[in-house]
Amino acid sequence: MLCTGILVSCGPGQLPAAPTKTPLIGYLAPAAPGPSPYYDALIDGLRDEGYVLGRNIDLEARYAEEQPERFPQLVQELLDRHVDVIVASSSPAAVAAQSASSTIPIIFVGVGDPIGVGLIDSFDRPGRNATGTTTYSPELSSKRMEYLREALPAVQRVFVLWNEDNPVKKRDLEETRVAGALLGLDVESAPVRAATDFEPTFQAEAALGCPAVVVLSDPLTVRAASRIADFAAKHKMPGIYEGREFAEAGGLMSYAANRADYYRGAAKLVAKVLRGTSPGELPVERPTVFEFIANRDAERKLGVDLQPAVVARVDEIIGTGDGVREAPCGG
Amino acid sequence: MRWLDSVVRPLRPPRASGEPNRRGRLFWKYLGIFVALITVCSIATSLMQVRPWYDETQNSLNRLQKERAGAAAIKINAFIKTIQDQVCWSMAPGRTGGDANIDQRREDYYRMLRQTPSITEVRYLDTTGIERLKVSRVGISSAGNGQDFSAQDEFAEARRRGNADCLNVAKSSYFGPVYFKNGSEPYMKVSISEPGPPFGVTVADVNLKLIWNIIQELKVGETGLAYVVASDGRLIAHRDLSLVLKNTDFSNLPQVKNAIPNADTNGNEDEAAEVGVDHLNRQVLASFAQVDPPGWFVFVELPLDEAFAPINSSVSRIPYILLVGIMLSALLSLFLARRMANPIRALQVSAAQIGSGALDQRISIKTGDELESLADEFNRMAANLQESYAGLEERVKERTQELALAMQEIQEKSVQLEVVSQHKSDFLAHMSHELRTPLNAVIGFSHVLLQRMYGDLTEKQEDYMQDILTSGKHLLDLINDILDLSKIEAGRMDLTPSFFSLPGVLKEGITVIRDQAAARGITVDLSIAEGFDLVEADHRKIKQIIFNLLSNAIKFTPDGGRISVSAGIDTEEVLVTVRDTGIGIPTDEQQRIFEDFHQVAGNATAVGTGLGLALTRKFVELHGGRVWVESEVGIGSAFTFSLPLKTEFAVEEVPFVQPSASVSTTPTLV
Repeated sequence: MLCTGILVSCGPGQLPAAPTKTPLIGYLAPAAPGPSPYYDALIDGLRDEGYVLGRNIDLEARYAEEQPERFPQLVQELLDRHVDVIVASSSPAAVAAQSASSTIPIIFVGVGDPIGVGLIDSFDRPGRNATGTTTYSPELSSKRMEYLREALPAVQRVFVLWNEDNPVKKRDLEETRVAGALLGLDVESAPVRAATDFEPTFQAEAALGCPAVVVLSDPLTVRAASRIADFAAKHKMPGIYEGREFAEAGGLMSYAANRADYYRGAAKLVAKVLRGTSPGELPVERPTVFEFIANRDAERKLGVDLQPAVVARVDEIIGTGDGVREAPCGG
Repeated sequence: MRWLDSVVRPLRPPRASGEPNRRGRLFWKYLGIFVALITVCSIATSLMQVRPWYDETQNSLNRLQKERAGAAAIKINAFIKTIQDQVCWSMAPGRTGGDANIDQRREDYYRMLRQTPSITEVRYLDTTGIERLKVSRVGISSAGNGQDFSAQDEFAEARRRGNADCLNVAKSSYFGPVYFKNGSEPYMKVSISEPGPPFGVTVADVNLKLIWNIIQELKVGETGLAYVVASDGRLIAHRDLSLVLKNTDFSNLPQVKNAIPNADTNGNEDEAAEVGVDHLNRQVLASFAQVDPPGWFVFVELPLDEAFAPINSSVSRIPYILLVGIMLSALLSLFLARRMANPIRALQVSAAQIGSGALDQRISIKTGDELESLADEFNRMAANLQESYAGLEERVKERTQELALAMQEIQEKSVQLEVVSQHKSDFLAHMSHELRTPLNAVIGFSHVLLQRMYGDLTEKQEDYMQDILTSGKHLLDLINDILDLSKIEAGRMDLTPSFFSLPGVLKEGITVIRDQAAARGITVDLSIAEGFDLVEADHRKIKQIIFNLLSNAIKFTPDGGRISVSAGIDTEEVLVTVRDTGIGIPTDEQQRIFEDFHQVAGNATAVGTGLGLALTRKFVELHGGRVWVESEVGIGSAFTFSLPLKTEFAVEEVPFVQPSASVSTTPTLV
């Protein structure tokens, strides 16, 4: 009958969503512009959340080019562009952004101590206009010392290379010292402030004997990962590093969260903010996955033998270890 | 609406003036009924369908969500199972206590940590609950700090469950409550008692944040989501991680509140979808599945807005679709109604034409149904009517012709009769004249002879001569009467009006009969109204009228009777009455006595021509008056005639005497 005919035509239907303004993300990075796995991780993470660059989001990037004092000016440039959210890589960028605006949402990436630098009130409830991902994990410092101790039982002395200007790292240093004491290791602090400080530091340490090196991750040290690894190889110094970047560059071992994960985590927070959640309501995210990486080539070059039990715990092995095994330090 | 006009216009028949405006009424009625029927039916069907539609959608969505929740539960179960298995298999049987074994155990634990990213820390407690080993992902491993855990649930509960059977590990695993490290990360302790000696307990700290990955991958519509709550309602995993990190309690949500007690009965699996409220206070369609162990619940929620969005949008479209449908059906009804109404209209128009006399009109309807039969009946009726009508007309024509013929015949006869009557009158006039001439000789000479001018007469001669004279006079009277009568009938009698004294004429008449009355002892009296004298009339004819009436009266009044004559004026006419005490006239004769040659039957004493009263009537009528009789047999008769005062020949100077109030009743003896 006609009535049935009418109803048959009443199929389900969807109405298209009303188009809205494309959100604009401001991106603040301390480095110089150029290809970056972290930037890629951020963009990948946004894509996973359904935000595709150039399609339904736009991004405006500003680079401090190793000059943190430029951040306030860069922040102002982003604010003039009326960005909807600022992704701030590193503490100085986040602090500059927050001091320029208390309303524009700020998502910081891999900030060591967001409470300490005054970005948030607490991890589970940041309370202000900023949230993000934190590297805050002082426990890992002791774990690195444990792995170093177990992998190379012969090591007696350790020096810790860290950026003196980064206050967060002081805490890691302390943790490292405590762990060292616990494990019967001499721990020395080797603070640096600039890229030019690395070589003199390595030379000075090498002059004192054959120490192992522990490198704390920081924009300064991460950007110099390759040079640091080279210095370590040159002076036959085994070591454990905070971050896979170092192991990939030739460092012996690394144990840390994947730095790119901070950017992916930040991308998720950006998506939540864009969907309307206040950053003050979004808990700061901490890493849950830590990578223990060993470089067999570095092992060969340094002339050391990692304890098999420790190698068995490694999550990722770089290199094959084939080739001529060089003489160790002092050997 | 030109199109409507073009559809409707042919329906309008030519309308007779004065017909009430009923055109198209049937059409509109049909149209209205069709449209109303379709509209009501459509709306009713739609309404009846909406409810089951909602239920069906809710049920199918519920089934889908149950499957999703079930799938998630299986995955979470697998996650938990992996942890259990890893923990169980890490405790290889056959090891005895001692440092060497602790070293081996440490490596086993490291392996476990590497293979199971969600385990952050693992500890080994000996049979007394003392910590012997701790391996951590984030901190320094230790060979045990000697802390006593014997009172803790993770030890006591694991021991209570007995030594593990790694093939059926679920039974012997203890799952601790969810707790939060650093105030924000969800963790849970899983502890299992060693399957073999030395029967220590392994306690693993499991980071539940990884369950989030499973939950996050669970796509529930566009805005729906999945989450996991512990048996106390605390949130373990949620698509919105921040809720988990905030240590949210969901036990107050109605669907969670319902699920937890129901879980024990295991009867919830077939339950219909439940409408609950999510943490944002939106109405949601909620389904759940249990993850047991460790007694968690996976909830899958789809906001009602989204769940019913397709239905709602369809329902909101129903009015438009109904509108279009009704418009279409109206269009259809238009043609249908037209199809139904047209034959009836045609029938009506034709019937009206037949009714107004167009009997040759025939109805042509080819519907093949009752209407066509009705039209045929109408046609048959019209044919019969036409036939009857034609027959009737023919007969009327015939009769009219016959009548006309008869009339013509009557006219002819009447003319003939008239001619005959004229001839008769002419004949009578001539004959009377011709008869009178010799009769005058007879009377004149017999009169002369009786006067003895030519000698004396014997008695016998005188008698005979007297008879001749009397008979001659009688004959002359007769002839005069006939002559007068025929003159009147031939229309040749003319009045010669003059003024004269009516009392004088009356007295003159009485004088004529005085001798005869005196001889028979009859009293004659005359009464004249006071002052009554002159009238204008034909003197001779009035005299004859009075004479005729008096002769009749004396003729029929027995001896010793009485004759009274009176004259007077009524309002507009002169009345003269002659009353006698004669034999009287029967009632049935009273009219006929004024006819020609009529005498009262059975009257032996009747003498005369029988023309007297006829002449009297005719003379009176010539004057425009009337004559009538009032009589009773054996008592007497009273003849009265009237003369109108104002006749056409009336002269103004005639001194009419108005009737006096005091009419003299004194008889005037004559």
